[in-house]
Amino acid sequence: MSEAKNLFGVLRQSADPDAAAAIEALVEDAPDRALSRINVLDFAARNGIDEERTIGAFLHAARLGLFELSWNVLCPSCGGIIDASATLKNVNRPEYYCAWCAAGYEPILDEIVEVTFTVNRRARRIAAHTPDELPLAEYFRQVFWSSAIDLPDNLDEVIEEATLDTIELPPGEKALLSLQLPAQLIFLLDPVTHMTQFLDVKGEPTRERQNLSFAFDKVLAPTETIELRPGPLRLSLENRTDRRVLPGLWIATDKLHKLLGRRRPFLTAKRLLTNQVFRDLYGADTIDVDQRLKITSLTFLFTDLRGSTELYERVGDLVAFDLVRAHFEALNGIIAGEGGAVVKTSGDAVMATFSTPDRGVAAALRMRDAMRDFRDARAGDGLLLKIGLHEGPCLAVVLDQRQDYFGRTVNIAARVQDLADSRSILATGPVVNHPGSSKLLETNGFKPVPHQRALRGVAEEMAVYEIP
Amino acid sequence: MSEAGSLFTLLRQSADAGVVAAIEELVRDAPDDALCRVNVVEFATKTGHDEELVIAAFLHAARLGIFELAWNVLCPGCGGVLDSSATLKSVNHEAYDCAMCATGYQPTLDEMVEVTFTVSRRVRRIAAHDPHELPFNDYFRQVFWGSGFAVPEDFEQVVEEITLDAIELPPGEKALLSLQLPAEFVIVMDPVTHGTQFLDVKGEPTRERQNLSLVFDKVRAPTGTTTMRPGPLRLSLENRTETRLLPGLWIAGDKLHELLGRRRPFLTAKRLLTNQVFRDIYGTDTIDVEQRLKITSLTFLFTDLKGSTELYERVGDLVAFDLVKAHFRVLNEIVASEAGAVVKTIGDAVMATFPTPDRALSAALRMREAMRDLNDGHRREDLLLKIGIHEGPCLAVVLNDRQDYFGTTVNIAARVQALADSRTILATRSVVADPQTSALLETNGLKPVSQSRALRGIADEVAVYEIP
Repeated sequence: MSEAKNLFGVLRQSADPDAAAAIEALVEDAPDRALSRINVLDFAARNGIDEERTIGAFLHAARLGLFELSWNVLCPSCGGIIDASATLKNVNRPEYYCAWCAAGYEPILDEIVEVTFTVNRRARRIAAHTPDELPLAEYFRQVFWSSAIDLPDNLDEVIEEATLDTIELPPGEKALLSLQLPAQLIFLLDPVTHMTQFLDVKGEPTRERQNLSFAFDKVLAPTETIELRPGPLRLSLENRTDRRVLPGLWIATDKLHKLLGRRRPFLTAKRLLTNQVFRDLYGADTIDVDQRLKITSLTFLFTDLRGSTELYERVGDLVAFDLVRAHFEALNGIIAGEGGAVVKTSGDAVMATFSTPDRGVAAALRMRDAMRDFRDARAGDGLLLKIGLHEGPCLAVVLDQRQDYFGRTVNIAARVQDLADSRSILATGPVVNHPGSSKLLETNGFKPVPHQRALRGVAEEMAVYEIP
Repeated sequence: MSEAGSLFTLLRQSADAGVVAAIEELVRDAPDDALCRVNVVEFATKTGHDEELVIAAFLHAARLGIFELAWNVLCPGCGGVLDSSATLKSVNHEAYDCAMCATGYQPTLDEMVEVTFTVSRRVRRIAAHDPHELPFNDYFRQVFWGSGFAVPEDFEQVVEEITLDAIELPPGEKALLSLQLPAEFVIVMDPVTHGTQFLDVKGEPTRERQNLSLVFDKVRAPTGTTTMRPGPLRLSLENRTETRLLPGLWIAGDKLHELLGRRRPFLTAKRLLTNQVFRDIYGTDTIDVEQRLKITSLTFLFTDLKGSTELYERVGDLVAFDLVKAHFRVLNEIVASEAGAVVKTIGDAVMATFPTPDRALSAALRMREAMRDLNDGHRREDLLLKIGIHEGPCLAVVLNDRQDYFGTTVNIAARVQALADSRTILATRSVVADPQTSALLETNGLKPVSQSRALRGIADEVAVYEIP
């Protein structure tokens, strides 16, 4: 534990002290299962610590080797984890198939990919470090289901009620189960391989024994529903994998549905990508050069200094550079403070992302105020910040050794910024109409005024709102 | 030598085979002094290899530890090395004083900072690895003067003729020199501390012995001018430093000026910064965040894809991304092969630098051709490139974790690009008026058409030339 103690000492220096203390207490005292696949947002809420600080602290902790970060592809329907990896680079399939729900999903970073933290075995040994030794209920809790499901403490009771039978089958072994099938839709599910077989039990009850055999292997393929009649079943199971499997016969009960319906907010891959601490610590090493990952909704904020060319001419390159750099520092601080991240700067322009429009709007308002103070305090008179915001789908990519974003949404955001020519902040409909943004604008007494504007290269005119 | 052998095998994997063979021969057979502060431009000329290939090979060799790279601040007056360091980060004084020329110089990366390569001691031991044991002449040749100084064949004889006397002074020791002063301007100079004392010897010859004592210490080497009369001098020299010194009395006549005027081309810091291989290997770790280094002349080329927003709308983000990436790959290759480097990409725009205007123009012409080929391949006019070029002074800085450039020149280059229509190349007067550029245009039968254009934020109209 002394090594972990040292690491916590380092963590306190780089992360928020409250968050670091809460994490240290967690690692020292919490039960094992609370240290496996931690839902950071839930942890922040429970400890009453700001979400951004908590995310920042966990990222630093992962960087120090106290935790392991995991990118999990979720099934949005059942909340199960289809695939988990230490790096987003492995999220490289066009589609992920959930055998239980019999549906395929595109790995979209804002809905389908979650990020969790599991304590490192060097900092503390927990049962989930050897997942193949976890009891069935705990396997479901700590490995199968994602951090998006708010699982109850009595999970084992719920599973007991929802299953006809379950069995632990070591690698290479076979087992025979004899049971009575009720007239219901039953599914045979193994959480380790994710193999699922649907059994539609209906029709006249029979006394004749029905036989079914099923083998678990590494290849996952969709299977047809098998029709059976209520009555005795002899089920023969074979484990052809090199891991223990945990097959069970499940009934789709109301309780199970209710259980799986208990969702809670979780840390999405998108939110992490647009977090400044994450960008600073992990940089371009997140996505492969050939990856193009879809994000359904990301908010882009572009800024540019108006009058900077005149400024360079007037005060000279050296003085201008110091002014421009001071302005970058001010903007960086605001962006990180609103949970966003600077993607890049070009000249005296900044491109930043936020996970939601309201954080982008909040940052824009704070930037405008900061520039006012900046002008008052320095020779930066004549410097106006032109700000434009837009929200929409995009691709997360790597370009020019940098994690970047690509697509029409990015172009439109830049074009909207181009239209800005005064102290007004310009934003599109999706930004100002977002409930969080409207509320924020109302609280601050701002009434956005829409104008139909033509954007270069965009076919149709768009409503661009001016925030006075 | 077996370690060196395996290093050269590695080098052959990343650099041109012919150049590697020449370097390997140099390391094996050349005299010691040819392996100290290698002037790579000179080496390219001597061995008949392409300069860019030679620079790239030496950079890879330095990365492998075969050579050590040094950034030397030169005195533009005498060609002496005022400061030498393994990193450009140490070039952080506002001005460098040359004691011999009694002048201070602001370090500009294109004239005053050279880059040389000295063989690593692990690969081959050379005398210059222990500079304080080098004989007088070798110390001057290998340590005092930069690689831009062309050492004459009869160097030793010239030195013999223009020095009155010279002495090797071990640390802590004193020496007394008795000599006859001629009626000349005499310089007492030590090449180790750069300490210099000028003796203006004039007036009536005297028989009376004149006395002068000079102390060399770490804090301050002697400087200043003393008037003396022709006749006997007793010069007392004291070395209070911890290294051996080599003070001598030099006659500042035509012969010395002729010697100091012998210059040859050398690898400038600017040329290295704008080299793609250098950027790829050393990246941001070249300049400190706080540094702002002046460059007198750098050529900027900006490109942008015309109609990219329409393109994204028409073909969708995914297909557009692949097209844009293909176009980046082509542009990168062209930039690198014209001795330039890509500084960054912004959306589908590229910012690149070149050491001279003609290389930029040559790249621009090739880019236009390459886009034509790419479009022919897709049978669509999807990619139309708008190109702008401008040359002028700028600051080399680090911004947003990237070695970048700043200043009015960069702004103008970007604005000129913004004026460009599809397929035209726009360049400013400083670009087209460059003799090499004119020659290149003439060879290609291209006649630039001048137009006076107002650039946003620039006070005066700028003459912009369209290259049809």
